[in-house]
Amino acid sequence: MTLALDIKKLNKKYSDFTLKDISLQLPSGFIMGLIGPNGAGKTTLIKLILNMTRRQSGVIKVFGRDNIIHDKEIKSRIGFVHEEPHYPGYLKVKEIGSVFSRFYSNWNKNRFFNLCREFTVPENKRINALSRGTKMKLSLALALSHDADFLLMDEPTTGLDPVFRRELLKRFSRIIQDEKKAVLFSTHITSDLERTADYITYIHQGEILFSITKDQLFEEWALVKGGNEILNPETQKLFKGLRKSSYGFKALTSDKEKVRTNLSGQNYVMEKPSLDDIMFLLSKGEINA
Amino acid sequence: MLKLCWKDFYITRFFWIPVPFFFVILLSTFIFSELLFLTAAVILTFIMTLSIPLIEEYYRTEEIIASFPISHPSVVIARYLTSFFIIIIGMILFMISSLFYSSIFKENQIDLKSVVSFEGGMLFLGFSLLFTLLFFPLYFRLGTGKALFSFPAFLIAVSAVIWLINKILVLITGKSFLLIKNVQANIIKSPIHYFSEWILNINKGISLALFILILAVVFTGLTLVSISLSIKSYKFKEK
Repeated sequence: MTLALDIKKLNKKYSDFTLKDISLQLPSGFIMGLIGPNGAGKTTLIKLILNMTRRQSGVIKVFGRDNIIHDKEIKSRIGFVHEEPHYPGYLKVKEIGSVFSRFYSNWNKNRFFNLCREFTVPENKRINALSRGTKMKLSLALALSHDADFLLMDEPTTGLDPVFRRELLKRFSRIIQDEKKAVLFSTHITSDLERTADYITYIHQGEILFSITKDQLFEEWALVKGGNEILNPETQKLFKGLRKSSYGFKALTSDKEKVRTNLSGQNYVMEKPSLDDIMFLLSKGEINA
Repeated sequence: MLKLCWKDFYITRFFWIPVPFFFVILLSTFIFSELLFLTAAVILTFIMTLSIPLIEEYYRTEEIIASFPISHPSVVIARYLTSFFIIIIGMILFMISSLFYSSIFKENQIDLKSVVSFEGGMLFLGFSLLFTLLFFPLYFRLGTGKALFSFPAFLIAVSAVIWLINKILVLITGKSFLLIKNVQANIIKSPIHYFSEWILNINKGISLALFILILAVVFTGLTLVSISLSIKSYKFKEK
């Protein structure tokens, strides 16, 4: 199995934020969704993969090659979508296409114009006149027009209508079918991940809390609800993202068996969590390592 | 690299349509002094070279460029190349303007033809290149806004160093290569004449060709230092 992305012990320090010991693997032929609250480090991680910012330590390999040493070669194989696409507003859509075409040897002009038509991006309109959603569609068309092997997207579905979002997710699934390509995208829309992602990586305050397959996540993880009387220093260690109220507690566990054994005879329920539950509890609850 | 130069001119192409017109019109204010005329042309050309980084910063296109499959040194060198092209455009406009105003204000005893000469071209090129070569390492390190604010202070520091070197040279050779006093005393008299005078008088043994060679070596060295500092800064810059 070829790894499209292999990150090991990646560290990046800013004055007010640190990305700590990030490690993750994405094999070719799969889609990975990156989730986490605002400011968790998703955009920083994407920028580090693209060598747009320098890491302090660690290794980032894209298709087995170091992203700094083979910067140019790697970027030619990446289709990048920025969370807020910035293009000179006075340029027309087709002119931006013309600028991009100069930098990618695999650029397919016909594919770009076909995608513009398919995504209803008017090629003769100035970028200033496009809505946020249409600008994002343009950005996607630009990223998909040079037959990239690795699509790296920072919140690509933000601002898109539900119909187009669904179409786009289907397209991602089609892209990876040849098992040579891979997709990594960050999002706040958990339903998008539930629909398409094969791997889910959760990042919180610069640390990866988990990076596993979606199936593994829903098989191994559970949402536990019960009365506060169950909680004591020992039982609290079983949970992640514990949230207490006067009515009881809600928490996550990645070891259902251990919870069953330790809480046998106690009054609690265990449910399959949604990604929303996971995201909410991990970002708002008390996190045990 | 040339693709990036093309991109710079392509995305700013509408901006370049009124520029020659404004350049020539603005220079008309300074036709009564060759020194001011030259200074204004150098400053206007420097503003023209700033236009591309400013547009890029305004539209935040640096992030897009950073995602293109281009090496970091190429991005930096392309920015220098674009600026050199703009300096050439500025020089052509400067020469055309001087000829144009000399012909239409002939009766007002305005003669700017002396700037259309080897010395005039050298002075324009020298100062324009110097401004660009000093500014770009700051720009790649600090970004356009901060670089623009710190540039005057940086120029003052550079001037102080030149003044110090001149003082040392005066002590050793008894000759000054800075003619600030004379220019201040007679601002209408062209500095180009002083420049020519200096070339001829600096040392009888040094020919003009050798002088040009020394100047070329100095500027090449300065260009290489400036580019390498800019590449180093750009590599570590957050995009």
